[in-house]
Amino acid sequence: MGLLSLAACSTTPPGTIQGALTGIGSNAAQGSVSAWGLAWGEAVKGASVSYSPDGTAPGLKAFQDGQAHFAVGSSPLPDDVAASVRGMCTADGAVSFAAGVLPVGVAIKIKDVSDVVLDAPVLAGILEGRITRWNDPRLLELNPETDLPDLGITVLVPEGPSDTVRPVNDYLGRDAGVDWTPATPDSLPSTVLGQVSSPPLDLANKLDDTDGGLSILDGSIIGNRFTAAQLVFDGKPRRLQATSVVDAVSTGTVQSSARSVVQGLDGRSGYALATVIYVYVCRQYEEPELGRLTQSMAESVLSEEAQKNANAFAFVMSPGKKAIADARRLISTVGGGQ
Amino acid sequence: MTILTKNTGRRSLPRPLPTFALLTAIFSLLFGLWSLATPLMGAPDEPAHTIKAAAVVRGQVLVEEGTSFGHGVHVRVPNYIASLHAQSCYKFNRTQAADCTAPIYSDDTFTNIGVTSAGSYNPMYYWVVGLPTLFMSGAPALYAMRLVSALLCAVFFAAGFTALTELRRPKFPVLIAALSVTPMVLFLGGGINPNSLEIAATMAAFAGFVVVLDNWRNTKRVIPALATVAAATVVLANARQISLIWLLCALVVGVCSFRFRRTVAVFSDKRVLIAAGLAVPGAVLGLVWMYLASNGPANVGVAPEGIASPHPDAPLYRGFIIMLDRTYDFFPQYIGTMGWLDTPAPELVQLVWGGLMVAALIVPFCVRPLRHWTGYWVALAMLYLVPALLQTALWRGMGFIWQGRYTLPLVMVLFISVGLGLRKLRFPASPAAVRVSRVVFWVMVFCHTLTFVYVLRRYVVGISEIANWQTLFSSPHWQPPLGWFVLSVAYLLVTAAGGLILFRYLHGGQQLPVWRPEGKSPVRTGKPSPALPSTGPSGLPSAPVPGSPVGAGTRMPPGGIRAETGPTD
Repeated sequence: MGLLSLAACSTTPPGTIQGALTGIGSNAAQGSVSAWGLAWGEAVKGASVSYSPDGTAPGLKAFQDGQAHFAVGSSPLPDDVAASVRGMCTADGAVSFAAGVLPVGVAIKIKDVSDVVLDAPVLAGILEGRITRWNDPRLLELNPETDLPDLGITVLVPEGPSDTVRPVNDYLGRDAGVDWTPATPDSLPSTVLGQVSSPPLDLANKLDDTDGGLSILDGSIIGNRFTAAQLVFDGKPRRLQATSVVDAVSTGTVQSSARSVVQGLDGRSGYALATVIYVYVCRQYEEPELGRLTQSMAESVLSEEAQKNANAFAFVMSPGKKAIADARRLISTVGGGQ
Repeated sequence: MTILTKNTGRRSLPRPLPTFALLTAIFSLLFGLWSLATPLMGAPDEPAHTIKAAAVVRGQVLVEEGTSFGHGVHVRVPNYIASLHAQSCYKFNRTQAADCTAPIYSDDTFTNIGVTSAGSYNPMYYWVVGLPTLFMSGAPALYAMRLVSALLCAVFFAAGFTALTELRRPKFPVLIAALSVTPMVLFLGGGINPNSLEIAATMAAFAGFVVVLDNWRNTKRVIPALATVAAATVVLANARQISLIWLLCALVVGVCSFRFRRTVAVFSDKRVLIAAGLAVPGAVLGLVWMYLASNGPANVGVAPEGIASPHPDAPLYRGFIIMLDRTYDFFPQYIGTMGWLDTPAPELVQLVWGGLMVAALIVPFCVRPLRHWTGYWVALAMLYLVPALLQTALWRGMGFIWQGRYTLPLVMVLFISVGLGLRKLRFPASPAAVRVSRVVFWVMVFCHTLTFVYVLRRYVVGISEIANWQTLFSSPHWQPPLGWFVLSVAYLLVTAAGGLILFRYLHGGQQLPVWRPEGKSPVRTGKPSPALPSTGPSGLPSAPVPGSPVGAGTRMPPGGIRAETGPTD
């Protein structure tokens, strides 16, 4: 019986979709890619994803070098870059689409303090060392009902490129009212104190041991472990909550083109500090089987099941309805779809 | 069964050769049956090693710049191999039968990216095991890879056991070595993973080495054992990087099991020096590989998902203490934790082997003088310290990754060292001892077979809280090649045959089966029957009979069991 089944497995039936895809990219996306892979594996027998969270830039390079079937980053591929991607792609290049929104928070560890409000100028002042104590008048002014202690502020933030830093740079560059010019969009300016070369979980452990500490972490790590500061958007303090982030996403702008679907967040309606997770795939793969397989994965990523998984396991919100619809149209052109 | 019990007549070959051939066949069958019974990629880390093997035989030996990422090294292999990570739906979930996997098609051969965490491993094992993928494809190629790996392991286990039979007073070492071949050892031998070869080669190296030391005055007698040590040394130097540590441990325990002057004498022996000379180039090659691997692009930098990553600032001593604390927690894994650490052997099997292991560990405390057990003490200390030191070294970077199977080479050395020490006692040959032995042998055959069928049940229908044995017959979800029932019967026959051969060897040619024609007692005294051949079945020799066997009624000396003046010094 078993030998017969072995013999029967010698040729692939037409239309079969199965196999493993390899992706490299954002560390912040690790949880969501696992959740997406789980949903895909449940929906398509014999499908799996192998993902290495080496960072957005190494992911893009691996994708361009043909070392990955897909990549995941914290920004969309510019059209010229997307068009020039080769690697496993044909001359049609690549496309990118928003697949998830990971909230980013300013995590605080102060004994007996569970609520702090920060605005962009104060946060910039803390990060650059102009505000060094929690009872600084500018902090007291923002937190009149909170008894902030006379305690030094210890900044613990990621050194070098980090996908959680990108939205912070955007926020402070736009609202802080100071010259906030990092060397790269995903690393903090050199003027920021307390930059530590540690993976996010280690950074969280360090923060846990530091009374008076402040760090920038993604929402899945902050959870109930730390106090997430309320941040001021458009003059209103916003709390890091799923509903608030979803509000910011649902009214955020969506820019769609032939090569990308970009999700924006709207600080006027909710908490707008978040890393938007983008998936990069080839428009056409050199191997048609890979095209079909990748299209299947991309469709699954945008499915309700996968998005629910990502929300439940990794605190990653779904892009807006328009972004999802536009992304579905875009990935219908992947592989053999064109 | 008849062929295994009849008189095969005079031997025409040098004695070790038929023994070696017979044992190779037995081990090949056992490993081969495990190969068939375990779904493809059901052995631990099998996808990574299979992908590595397919890459190595396609010339991708060194890790190239830009191909090493946090989750492993990227290689280019046929898609049916590159996609093996997708065969993991039942992994870590013993309630899930293996029917959730997709078929592996033979025409799925376009070149694709495969990810392997074994990218920097020495290519020797993979060169051999990957060969079938050059002329076969799909599931048959993967089974062929397993069988090649199984044959390699079988050769070294057979060589090791053959060497042990060349000891003076070999019965206890052979018996305990056989008992050390736990279901886990056999399961590992059926998968694609150099861990199994490492266990076999370490066992062979140790067995060969102690035989050479035991025959230090006449190494000409034990040239096959010398060859075994040389070959095992080359293999261990070129298996995993950790393998050289196991080789070192084995050699140190061997030296400590005899007086040091023997070692000095042995290493001035011409034949030993020639064997060492033959092994050195192979060992140097292994060291060269280590240099290349350690200076290549970084390999796995991220602890695999699901494995605890400790605080990087935690003091190292804490990792060391944790490992010491867990020393005995790994014993169930030595006995049998199959699959991806998801299928422990049945409790009965754990109890039986656990009891035997505890007994073996305690025996040295009961047989005096204690100083004669130096090899055992050293091996026991190594069992505590070496895994703890190795895990501590990896702790900050990789997390807590240690598994019992990593220590199995050392475990085999430890238990064989118990057998070496026991040679000072006469092997029990009283009728009562033979009766007890017969029962124990059948229990072991039963336990091996029970584990095999239990693991098949896990893959065929899944292990559920209710005893779903009957569904193996009524509604199997997955079937191995040949079907689970045929494999189970075959396994029972092979283990019984192995038990029979060992029993006859240990008990002067007596029969293992409990049935006998009416009027003929199956139990006799320790003296071999004149009707039985001096060589065992298929040429396996009966063990040398000590000068004056201790029969029934032999009294223990006062003050516990005191060792007699044995042949070892």
